[in-house]
Amino acid sequence: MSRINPIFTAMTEVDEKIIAEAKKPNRKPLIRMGVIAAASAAAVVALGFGVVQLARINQTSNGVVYNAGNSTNSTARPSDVIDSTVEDYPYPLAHSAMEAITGMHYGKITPEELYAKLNNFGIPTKPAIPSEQADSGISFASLSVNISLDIPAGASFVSPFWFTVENDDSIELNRSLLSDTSGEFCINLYRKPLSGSKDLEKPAADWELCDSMKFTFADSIGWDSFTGLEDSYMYYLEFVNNNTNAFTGTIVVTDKSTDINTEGNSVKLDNIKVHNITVPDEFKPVDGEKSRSIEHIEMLPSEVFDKFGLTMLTSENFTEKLNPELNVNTKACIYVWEESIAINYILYDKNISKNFTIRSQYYTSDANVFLGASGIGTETITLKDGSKAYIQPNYAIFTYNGVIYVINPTSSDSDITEMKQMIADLGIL
Amino acid sequence: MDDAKITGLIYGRDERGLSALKSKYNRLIMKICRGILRSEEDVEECAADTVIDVWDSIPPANPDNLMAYICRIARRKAINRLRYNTAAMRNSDLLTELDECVPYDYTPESASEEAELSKEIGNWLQTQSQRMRRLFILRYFYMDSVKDAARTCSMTENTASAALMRMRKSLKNYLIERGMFYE
Repeated sequence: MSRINPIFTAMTEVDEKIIAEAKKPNRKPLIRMGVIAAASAAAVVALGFGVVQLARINQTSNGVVYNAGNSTNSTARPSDVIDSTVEDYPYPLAHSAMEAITGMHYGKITPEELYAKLNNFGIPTKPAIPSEQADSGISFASLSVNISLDIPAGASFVSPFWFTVENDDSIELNRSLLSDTSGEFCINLYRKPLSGSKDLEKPAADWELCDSMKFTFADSIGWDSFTGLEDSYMYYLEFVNNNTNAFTGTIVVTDKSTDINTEGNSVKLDNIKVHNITVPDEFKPVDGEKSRSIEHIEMLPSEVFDKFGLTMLTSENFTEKLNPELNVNTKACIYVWEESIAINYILYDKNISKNFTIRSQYYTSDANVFLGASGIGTETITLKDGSKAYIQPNYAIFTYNGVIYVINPTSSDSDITEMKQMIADLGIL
Repeated sequence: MDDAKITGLIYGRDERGLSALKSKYNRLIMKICRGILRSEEDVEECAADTVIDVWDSIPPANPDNLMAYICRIARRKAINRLRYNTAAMRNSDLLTELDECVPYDYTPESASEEAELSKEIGNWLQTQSQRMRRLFILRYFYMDSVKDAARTCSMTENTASAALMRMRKSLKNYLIERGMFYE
């Protein structure tokens, strides 16, 4: 009997809606103006720097693509097309539009918010000059930028956005390049004083090369940082393909030194305390094991917390549930590791009428903590203690009073609004 | 004829629905079967069996999406036939790609594990953007070539290949994280 890949077989039974969605006809883009504007901005930037060829726009029946390079056949695209309509799919529209412009993935936003964001990112919705009042470009505090590259041999491409940073910031470039060539790839960082004109249509003689990194395809997957950036400048990136062949790949640009780090698509939490916790004997690792996980426990979460001498994060808006109901993401109720302890529990939010799984994690020694939260589509809110919570649909992660919390809905989906509401119901917002 | 009307006719045991179904979907059914089976005879038999199954199962089934319903039946038929046969699958390059997602010796041990795997794949697909999800389904459900899937999704073949590779890696990690198997 032939072996058939189990994924292939299992694909037969995935949700019919997903199967049907793939065969839907392409839709005409209604956001075309926004993308054209973005492309225009890229073109102006490219011209102004004099370091790359003029970016062009190809408009197809399906949408808009970016082109750069000498050849009319060459492409360098942070975007492909937009295939949704406002009427049918406001979220994918916004999502696709943002992807189309910079590869940014956002949470659910309305078209109006999208246009506002485009303006804020220095991408005017009309080919106009960004105002002095508009924040100059991208703030990296709450997002990462995913740029898909497909650059012809010998061509360059500039990021179709510019960005500002906080003083002494770093940005990290997480690269994943696919090519069979052995040449060199270069990423240049240009800057221009913020005190100068923000007029992108003027000759940008004041842009200067301030840093550069080069690598070969032997190092095609990895990350590097531009460090020591200053808040008095605006920046943009240039990608140069010094190869004899075209290549494709992805560069993820994130702010390394503030909140988001995409190494492993994780959020860095830097507000963590060392906790002095006495582990009850019944939960201690046994037989010389360094760690222990307890999957089922017939105790209410509050009773477990009492045993550890800890206080459970909850409020009168919630009722607690027995731990055996935990979902697949948090199989065990209690983890005891050498350097940290995690207690997973379920609270029922009476206001939203949903169960949420909460992981509270206490570090017992210093640690550089990255937890698995995608930096993509994350919204940031500030909590009562001044720390930040990173929220996505079905996911939130934050540090509160030095404890790390990860929250998921236990079964049904929760959008960002519901996730925020849940955190507000906890009384920490 | 639109799908709702075809379904309605079949539901009412009106054979005009069957004719309409064959006329509208036979090519797609054949394409799916042909993507899996090498023998043209097997392909034709599976396609015919698919139409009979649709007729036999509606009612009581009353699918919301007739096309997806039919494609799923066609796929099941062809996979079952392939299991019965000793020949390798026609689109072996596609399976080679998917082999990156699972350990070589991994096979679900029960129907419930198979169902769980399908559910997790569905959950993972929901984490992808609409465009990426579409690309993945076109390639690995409908068995489109990378070139055709890329064209449908309005991207270059290179971009599609790179995206599919990233998604395969992502799916594998997702399934490992959920304990479906170990690396």
